[in-house]
Amino acid sequence: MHRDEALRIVLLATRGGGAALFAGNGFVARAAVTIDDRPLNFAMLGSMSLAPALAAGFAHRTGLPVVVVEGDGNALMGLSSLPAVAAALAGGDGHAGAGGHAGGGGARRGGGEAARGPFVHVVLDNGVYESTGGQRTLSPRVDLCAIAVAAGYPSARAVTGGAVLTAAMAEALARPGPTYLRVRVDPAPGGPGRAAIHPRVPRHPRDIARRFVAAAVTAKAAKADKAAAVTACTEEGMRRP
Amino acid sequence: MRVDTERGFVERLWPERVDRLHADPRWLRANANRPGRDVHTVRVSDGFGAVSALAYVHRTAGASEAYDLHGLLLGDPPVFQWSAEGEKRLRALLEGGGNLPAALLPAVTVVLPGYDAGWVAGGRWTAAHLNAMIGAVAALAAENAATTCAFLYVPREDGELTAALRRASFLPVALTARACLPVRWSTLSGYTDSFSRHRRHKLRNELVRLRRLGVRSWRADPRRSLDTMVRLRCAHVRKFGREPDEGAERRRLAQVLDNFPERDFGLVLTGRGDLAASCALFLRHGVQLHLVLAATDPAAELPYAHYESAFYAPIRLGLTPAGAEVDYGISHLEHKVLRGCVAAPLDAWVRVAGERAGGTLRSLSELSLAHRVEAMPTLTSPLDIVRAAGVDFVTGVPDSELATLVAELERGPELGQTGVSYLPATREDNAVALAAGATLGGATALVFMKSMGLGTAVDAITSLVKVYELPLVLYVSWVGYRGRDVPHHNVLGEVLEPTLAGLGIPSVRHTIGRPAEMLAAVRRAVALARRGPGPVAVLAVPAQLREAAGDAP
Repeated sequence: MHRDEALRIVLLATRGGGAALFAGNGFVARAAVTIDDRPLNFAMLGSMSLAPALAAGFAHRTGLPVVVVEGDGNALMGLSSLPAVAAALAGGDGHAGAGGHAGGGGARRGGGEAARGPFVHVVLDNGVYESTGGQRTLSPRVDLCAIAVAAGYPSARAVTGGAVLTAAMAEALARPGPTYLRVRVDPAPGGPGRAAIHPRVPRHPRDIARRFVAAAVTAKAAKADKAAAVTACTEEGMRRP
Repeated sequence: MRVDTERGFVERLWPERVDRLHADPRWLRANANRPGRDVHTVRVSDGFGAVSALAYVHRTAGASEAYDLHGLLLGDPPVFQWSAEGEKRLRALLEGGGNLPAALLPAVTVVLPGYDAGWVAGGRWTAAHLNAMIGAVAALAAENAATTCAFLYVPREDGELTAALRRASFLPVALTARACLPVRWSTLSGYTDSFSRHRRHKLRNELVRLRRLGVRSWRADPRRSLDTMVRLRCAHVRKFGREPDEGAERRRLAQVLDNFPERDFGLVLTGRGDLAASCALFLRHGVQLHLVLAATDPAAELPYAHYESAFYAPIRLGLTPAGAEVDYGISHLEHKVLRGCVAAPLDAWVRVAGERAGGTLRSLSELSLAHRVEAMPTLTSPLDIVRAAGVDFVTGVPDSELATLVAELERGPELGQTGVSYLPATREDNAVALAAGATLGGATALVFMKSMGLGTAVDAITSLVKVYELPLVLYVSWVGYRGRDVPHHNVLGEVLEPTLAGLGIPSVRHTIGRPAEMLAAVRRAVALARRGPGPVAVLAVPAQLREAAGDAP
């Protein structure tokens, strides 16, 4: 399975679940914008490794369903954020987590936030830094799922193949709380860095943020009114690259 | 700069997002157009930002109740508070100065558009927008041959507006103060326990007397109780010597009820048996609960019934959740402060035409400022201060200088402060990203760190917060201040300000351990961040380093 194929499955499930999408920097963000440019997608142009924390802050605040997608380079750089992400999304006092010791620094829920929704953390793992020319990452040496569970994610699994990914996305979006999915994708055909080159995101970050905030306000209102304003989920709704 | 002035409350000229009830289009639809005054919507904009305000042209005396300079000069009872001495001197001044109110009509009053609203803005507005807005209001005054041009209910801490008004030769007149009750308890006994012994004793006596008189309170459906509310409102107005317009009162109240969802209202009725002698209608807006109608029928002769319906019953009936802030408005301040409210002073800024009126205004300004209400210094905890500044989401990495704030954040609910969410972070860049995400979800976020952490967070600050133009407050303890600290702090500590300046991040500072300074600094940072674009830093200087550097205290 190629990255864009996996990404298309993830984006389709995200749209179907009415979830907000955060796309990590590099080719993931570019490809996400090319495949499905909807207002509730937040393309991260810089700040490598910070997409999960950004997504967790948003999910913590709004309780909306959230999907965050990043590459393995981002994921490896951002390992230190995993405990904070897991704590932000834990129910109750935030002490939940495998091996977590009671009394450790937990998140505290305040007045402004909502009950938690599903949070799906997808790592598209091709083993290379593709947008910089296909240099190798350390991901083949690292058990990312074990790290995620150790950091407090209640559930993490490695996924290969489109059918399995489709099922895993549906399952993860159907229950509240964080799920970590490490998706094995093939390096680009024709060698590293030879994949379809997606154009740079054709939008100023300011406009991405404004459009996203407006869409989030609508989504929150829809959630508050319990209106079933779930966007129709159709293949046709997406632009193909 | 484009200036639009249109008759009426024009929603098109109003920003889409406002965070205050009195600036909310739903509120203004019900309250902006009232008889006896012409409302105008003024908007000043360029490609980057916009500033809007409502201006009222008053032609007749007594045209409106609370938002009228004329009523205010006469001492209209529901409006403002003078000390007995100040009132005496004001009356002497008015009598000596001839028929001042008549001399001040017609007047243009910018009420901004209610006492909790201020002017409203969007995008990257600047002082130039404010100057142009003041100019547009002055032009409206000139068109209407107004003698007086006034900006009412200007919060004293709104440095930007006051500076602009001063530049435009307006004079300040102390008006009143807004009273807010921060809710730190969940039961009535928790509330009374929060007072000093003497005060607690008095409150308990009131409660005992109410019980002995057989006074009870109950929650009621506001729509079904419209008649009751109108009856009590009219009785209340008569108590102040005015004849109420029952139809107008009913229409306005019905409009307020129609414009907001039913779940945002809470109505308390108080009386003996089934007959209500007092009512208090609350409207929830964000974290605030506004008392939008409070009225008591004096004929019922139930002492303290008013406080029962407005203060005690809402707590007993669970209407005021811990963490909320109850806005009790601007009149009868003393009674509210005695019952736990915090006061925020509000001024009027006035300019008049004509020599004689000008002289009178100058005297009035001096007199009123000598008797003005001071802000009550009640907040000492860093967490309460952060909350009072409008922050509702905090994350960060601790520093010993920030120990009190972090300890309070961890214990927030125990301390009764549930209005702030707290997420611990592992690194400062992760903290910035968490806060940025919460901001995208509508939070007002603050990230704490020591100055070294800023180095870790620079990529997150520049390529995320700055370019996506997210309003965020960075609360930085300035270790290494002026090189007076340990070597590994001093390098960045010495260049912290130029570093921030180089990154294009505005900063304000305060000394740790000085609550009033901290509140002013965080408030200012929140205001600057909302104005945008991007983050604003508060530099918190450790007191001992400041001393070591030989800075003036």
